[in-house]
Amino acid sequence: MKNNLLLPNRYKVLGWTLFLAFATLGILCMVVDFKIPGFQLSSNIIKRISEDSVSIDLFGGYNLTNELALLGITIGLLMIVFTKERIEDEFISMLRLKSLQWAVLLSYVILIVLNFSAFGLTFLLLLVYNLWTVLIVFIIKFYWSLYRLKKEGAADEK
Amino acid sequence: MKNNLRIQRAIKNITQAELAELIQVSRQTINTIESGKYVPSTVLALKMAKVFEKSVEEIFELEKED
Repeated sequence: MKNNLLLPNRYKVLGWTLFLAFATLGILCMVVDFKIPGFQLSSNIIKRISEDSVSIDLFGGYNLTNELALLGITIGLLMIVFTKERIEDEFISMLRLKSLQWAVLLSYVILIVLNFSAFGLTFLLLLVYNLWTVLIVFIIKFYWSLYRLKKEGAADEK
Repeated sequence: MKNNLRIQRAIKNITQAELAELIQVSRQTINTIESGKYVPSTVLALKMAKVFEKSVEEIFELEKED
């Protein structure tokens, strides 16, 4: 069975590197409010339209470090999920599908729980993190299954 | 579905890894098939039958609950 949506195996390392690097950036950004100097939208905050009216550009001067981190983490995680295993056979495909079912289900369970346990801005913030739940749960479930199989198999080999 | 893959392997004297190599799957896949956890596709079953020079029915067998 051919799965054309998958990248070659070597992209896995790239995916992990991207993910770890940008996750570090994201954490720095959140914890110590790190911003890449100069990486921002142009900062003409107030433009004079005529003598007595001005328009305020709400996002002028907005720093994009945040956005860069989110982009990097997402691409990194996607890359980890969408790369082939060294031997990508039909059984691995089935594991993929099962893990994906788990991931989608769990993601929505979290969404439903959040719906009744976090409100306002907190809810929105948690929704942002929930962006990655599908990918992260998939990665954990898929690699956990593979690891367990390897362990069982090692004992069984004759 | 049950199978006698383990016996066939013993007759031919090849390991799971060698069989896996011959039909281009991972060793875990052979292992899960042998332990009955995974039912292979028709293509894979035919490939295995070819390796053992048997018909598919001689290796795989339906069970009551199938």
